[in-house]
Amino acid sequence: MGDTGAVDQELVARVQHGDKTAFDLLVRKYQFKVIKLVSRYVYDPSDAHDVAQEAFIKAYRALPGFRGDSAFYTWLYRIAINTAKNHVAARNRTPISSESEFGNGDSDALDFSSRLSDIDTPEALLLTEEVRQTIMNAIEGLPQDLRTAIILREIEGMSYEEIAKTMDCPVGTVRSRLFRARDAIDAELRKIEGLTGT
Amino acid sequence: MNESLQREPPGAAGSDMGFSADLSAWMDGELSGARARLTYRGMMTDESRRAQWARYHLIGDALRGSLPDHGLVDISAAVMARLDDSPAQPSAGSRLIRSPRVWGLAASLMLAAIIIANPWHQREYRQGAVQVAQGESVSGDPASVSAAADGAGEDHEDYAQARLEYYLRNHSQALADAGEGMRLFPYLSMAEYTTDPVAASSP
Repeated sequence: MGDTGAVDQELVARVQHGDKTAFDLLVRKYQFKVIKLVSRYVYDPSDAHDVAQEAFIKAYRALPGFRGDSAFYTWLYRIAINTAKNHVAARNRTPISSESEFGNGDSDALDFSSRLSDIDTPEALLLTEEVRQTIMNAIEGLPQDLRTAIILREIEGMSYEEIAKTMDCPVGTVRSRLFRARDAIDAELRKIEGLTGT
Repeated sequence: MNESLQREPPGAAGSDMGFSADLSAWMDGELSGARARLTYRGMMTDESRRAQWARYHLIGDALRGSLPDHGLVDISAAVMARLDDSPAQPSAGSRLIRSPRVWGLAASLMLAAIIIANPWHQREYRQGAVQVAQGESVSGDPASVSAAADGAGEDHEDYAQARLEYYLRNHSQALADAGEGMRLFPYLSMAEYTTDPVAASSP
């Protein structure tokens, strides 16, 4: 218990038996981590999102052969890195378009501008910042025991048993504190326009 | 923009406190058995609960500094749409087909069948028998040499049958030793086989 890898294993087993919903949960769980990882190699945000998508598609197709020798995220991490490196190599091999094709000499500028999408807009960047700030403010507003529990779990990666020992309380109390902390933060997240559609 | 986070109707989450509490414990790997399965089934049929799962993980990502620096874009809907357009996911049963070990075994079985049934090989066998009978040296595997030395009158079908049995016996043993035999030839084992990964892993 206390091992999120076990949850991943269960979801992977379900995907291997044809359950696509389980893969949807894995994507939702790891998408931001993968996008951030890919962005270390692929600097253009639009490309980074495409590469992250491609990594998940590759992972899905390779999952029947995944035997669980390593943790799912370790395996996904390798796929994402390789996909990103391949993307960079392929882009480096692509010849720069000639001036005549674009009608001006600034092909790099045109290439960059054509890749701009809604993810690069100030609104998208503001949303990211708003989500971060909302979560931090919500945590600041939590009672001390809930705040300590969520920090020990999410940042320190402690199991419920370890948190119980640290906070000198029963495991059931830890479970309740973590749920109440998440629920309180989630309530604030759902107020964000553009995140919940309200 | 953030479709999986948007798909939930306002106020839907939190209306089922029991589910939310179980979801929180399950995502931490602190819930197992029937309640874990119920939690998963709850998400299978309810998009708002999957959105809640996504937000709960978003909280953890934000605390650990794992959010991307440029734009918070949900790609899950796009990924799933692309998967819906692609051929169906092979099930775990067909995983065997992709296993290099199984391909190796299949290839060696096919090779054995070719060697045993090959008329050219049978002709060589007869020639070998004649050569031995005439005092000439014969190259090849020990089985064919000893069969030839036993005399040209032996029926080559008996020989082929003996080789086939010998080969299959060795392969069955090898498969059983490698653990592959149970999956390829379930009758080799008396162990019960279940296809439900969750039931199989549950205590």
